[in-house]
Amino acid sequence: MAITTAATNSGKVELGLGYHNGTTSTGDAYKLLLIESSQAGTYGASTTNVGTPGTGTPSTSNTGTDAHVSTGDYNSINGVTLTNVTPTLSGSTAVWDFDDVVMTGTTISADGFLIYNSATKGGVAGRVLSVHSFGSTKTTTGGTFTIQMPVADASNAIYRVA
Amino acid sequence: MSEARFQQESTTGQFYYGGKLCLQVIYEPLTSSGYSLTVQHFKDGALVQQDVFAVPEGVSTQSTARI
Repeated sequence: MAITTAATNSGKVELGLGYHNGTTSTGDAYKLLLIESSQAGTYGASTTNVGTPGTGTPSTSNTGTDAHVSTGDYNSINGVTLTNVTPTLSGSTAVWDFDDVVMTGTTISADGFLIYNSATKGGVAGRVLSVHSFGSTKTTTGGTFTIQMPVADASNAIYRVA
Repeated sequence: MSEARFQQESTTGQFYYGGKLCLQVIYEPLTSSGYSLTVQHFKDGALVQQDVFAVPEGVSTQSTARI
């Protein structure tokens, strides 16, 4: 269907509920989940949860069969764990950042990814913070898939609270 | 002798060795920021490995969503 780069609407509410903590080491465990090429679901601001990756029909609350299977260093269908960089202020914008992700030995065909909180918050795990499109299908063949987080400033950071 | 063929403003470049394509780099920009590089490794004319380096576009809680 389609992937639209967006901060999720549910994530905005969850910030106010205290369900997200991006502090280095002591914060929540965030993950990056790749979405398959030719995905069946629609991903964007209305996406709420990763649900049960690999199982079920894709919807706003379940990536289901759209979740990319594990390959090489992308070693779980639930995605790869991100390393938090404690949010900071850039001008009047709060910026979130994570370490870059380098996955070797992969065979991947993906159109984008979700960043979600794998910790259980308010009785629910898998809350999606943001959705990111690659613009087109990105494919590795026995190779390295590197995702370099953009510069952590008010104009570019991977997640910005303005 | 290796030979590189890159043209100014081109989104694709090739490296040749012994007259054979051995490496191809494809640059693809995203809508407003971010980009990706796809690096294809060839041996005897056949693709043997493909790598991706992507810098995604970030999101703002204030901005309009982009496709």
